[in-house]
Amino acid sequence: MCRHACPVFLTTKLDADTPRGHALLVSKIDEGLSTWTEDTVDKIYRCSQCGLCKELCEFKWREDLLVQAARENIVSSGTQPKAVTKLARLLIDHGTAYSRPPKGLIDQRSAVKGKQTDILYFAGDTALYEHPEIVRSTAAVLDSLGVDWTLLNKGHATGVELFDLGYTGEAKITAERLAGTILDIQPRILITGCAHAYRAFKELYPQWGIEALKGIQIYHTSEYLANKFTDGELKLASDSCFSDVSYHDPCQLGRKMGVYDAPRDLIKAVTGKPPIELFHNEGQAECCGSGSVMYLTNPELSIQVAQRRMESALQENTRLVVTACPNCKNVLAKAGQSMRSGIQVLDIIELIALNMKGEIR
Amino acid sequence: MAKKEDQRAEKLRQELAQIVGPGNVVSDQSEIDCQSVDVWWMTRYRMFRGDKFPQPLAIVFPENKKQVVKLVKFCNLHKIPMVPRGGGAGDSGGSLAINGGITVDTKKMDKVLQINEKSLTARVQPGILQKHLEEYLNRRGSTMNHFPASFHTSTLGGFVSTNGTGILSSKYGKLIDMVHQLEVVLPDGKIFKSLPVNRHSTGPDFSKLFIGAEGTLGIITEILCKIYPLPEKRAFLAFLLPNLRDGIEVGRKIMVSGLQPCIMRFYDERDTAHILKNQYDMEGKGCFLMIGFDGLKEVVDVQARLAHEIASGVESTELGDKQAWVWWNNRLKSYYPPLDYVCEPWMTAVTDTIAPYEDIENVYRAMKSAVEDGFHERGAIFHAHFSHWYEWGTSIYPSFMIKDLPEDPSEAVKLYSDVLSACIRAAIRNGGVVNEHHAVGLRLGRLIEEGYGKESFELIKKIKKALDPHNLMNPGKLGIGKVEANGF
Repeated sequence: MCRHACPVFLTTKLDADTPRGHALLVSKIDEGLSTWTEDTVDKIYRCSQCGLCKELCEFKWREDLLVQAARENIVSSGTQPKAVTKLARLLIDHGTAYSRPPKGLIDQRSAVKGKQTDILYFAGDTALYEHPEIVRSTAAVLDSLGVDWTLLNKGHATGVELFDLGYTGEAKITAERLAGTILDIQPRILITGCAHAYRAFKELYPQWGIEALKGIQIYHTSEYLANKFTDGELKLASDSCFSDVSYHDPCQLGRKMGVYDAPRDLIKAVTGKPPIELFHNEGQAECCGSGSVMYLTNPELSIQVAQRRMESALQENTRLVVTACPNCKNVLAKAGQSMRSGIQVLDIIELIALNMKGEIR
Repeated sequence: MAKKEDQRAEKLRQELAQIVGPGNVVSDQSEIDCQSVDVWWMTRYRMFRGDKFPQPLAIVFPENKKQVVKLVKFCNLHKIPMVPRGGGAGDSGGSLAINGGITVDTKKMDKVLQINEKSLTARVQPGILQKHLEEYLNRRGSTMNHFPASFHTSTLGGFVSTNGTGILSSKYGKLIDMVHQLEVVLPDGKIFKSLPVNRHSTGPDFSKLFIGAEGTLGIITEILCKIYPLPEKRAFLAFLLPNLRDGIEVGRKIMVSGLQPCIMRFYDERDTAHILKNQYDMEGKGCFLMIGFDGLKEVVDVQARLAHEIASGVESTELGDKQAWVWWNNRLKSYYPPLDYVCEPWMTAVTDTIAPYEDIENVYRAMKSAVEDGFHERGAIFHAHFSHWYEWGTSIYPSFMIKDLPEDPSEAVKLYSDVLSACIRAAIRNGGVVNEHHAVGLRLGRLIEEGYGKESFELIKKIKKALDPHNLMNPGKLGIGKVEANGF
């Protein structure tokens, strides 16, 4: 009975978009009473895999496993939507979901095979291709800390995107390839601002038997910087006049990986006060609409879901939504603009970078 | 022929789209299938045996009253059946488009229009999920005090249409007690708005005509309901009573003494054994009684003390409040396995009824006998609890279960129908009614006339005829009108 929690259902109001609907449709196929049609396949790919239904389910029903298995089945039967095939092809052949070069010059110090570095920064596709300001902000902050770092400066799919599309075998091959690339650079620390990549490196790779990253410390950028702030190495001005800042918990970072405090601690350090909590927050935070691959396969629905999340921010009279995943920033910013919400959306690293430059005081 | 029908259906959908917008007319088979299975054993059983039964031509999502009016007028003109739908989580087939036509899904009409903090009322659109309404109210320090099993998934409009009951009904009542005013689009497209208060002598309170009407008399478009401040305190008591009779008497004494427990749940021996084992990991014989109070701290304390005195007046074992708190904290979880009985793939149905205190024990025993003695060869099991108490009587919430199903689906469907009829008829014969709060729908329609008697039922049919002469509004439900599909 998780209809009330499903961000897609709340946008479309269709029963077929709910976990219960998915279970019913899959059961019919499983019982041989129906087959995959364009319509049912579409409903299965509309799940954002945000995990809120499981979080709020009285019995913690694993909707993610059902959808994952259904997508695998769809792919193996060759009935996946064209958009899914096209995306998977790009990820398999080019290691990125984008068929164009990244937006703007990012950084000259790209990682070179065999070149060792203390810290390797994995930006993720959305930051590289859609929001280079996140990469530039990260570079500025890491530089100011005086650490030895470098950027994995080209598209590198983590495998999670393929996994979420139902291409399990290809996902693991992609993941192994990326893990090998990282291992070649031999960083002591791997940091990423992408919540999806963070979960991939810390949780999914070990689950998939990929051990290449075993000896490497893995941090989300917010965790790394919150530690630096606690240690006194990161100096932030706390006399900010910002008082209307909310934090949106990315599903992958919060609900799935349990990282709630680090971004909030940094916001508090910058603004002088804890963020205004959106009504549903932390483990119960609603999906931004980016989903696992939803923005890539169904951008229109993705933005509609994001508009709901921005409405929550409007209810709290928020002027600035901070998040900690480029995918969340991407859709929330687009939704905010489409609604003329007047709310600015920043990644946590941008807030830190602006503060360090003295632009937020 | 099929092509012509498809073309006609497509033309209809295009016309509907002109009324509500193209995005609000859905004909995806996936959605139609999902809306064709509710919580009724019959729909799931038949669908998963490949049994095809009638489905709507389209599901239409009006976004406002104006669209509902236009939609109803259009359907009237073209004689298209309309099935109003909320969450579709009923267990009686009430929102199935069994006679074809269209489903009018109200879930896009989901706004809270106004909160009056002085008179404690909320003006709400019907399609809001109860969970979201409650959340909205809680943020403002209020509550509706309506917590049924389908709290998360059902809409307020659905609850009004079935005259639903939540677990706090002993104090806050059924939906009929919670509604001040209703706005309804009648089957001819005209709007009826009842008076803004429900205590008046300006003729009958006509809002009551539509509460529990299951969408057969119109589509609800606005509800003015009562709200309450969040309680300052909750307190619970729990006892183990030696037998059913003593427990009913304790419950009766509490209610007639003027105490106002918000919750009182009393379980028969079979349910008690189940709840003790599955919820509390306890062994014990007898009948479990749980009583709860809410409100101002001092009032709660006094009422809990007086209820304790009444329950201690018979031979009972006090269990403290721990078990009751566990139940309260699991209140929306306890309806599902493992806390509740595992149902699938067994045959099961709730057969809730209500009767005055002088009849209630007889009703219980007659229903139990009808199921367990009447269908002994099938190993039929009957279990029940009493969960909605009033000054004059109480409800019985029984269920039957049969694990040994006939292999032939048509025999299974007949068996279901036979057990259900035998059980409900036993209730009617002994002073009970056809249903207490799960509504009638298709499941119990055939018993309505028996419940009311032939002459009284004539009036119900006349009212329906007067309001909906072409029988377009949720046809075939409440035992009124023909059901086109076999076996329902």
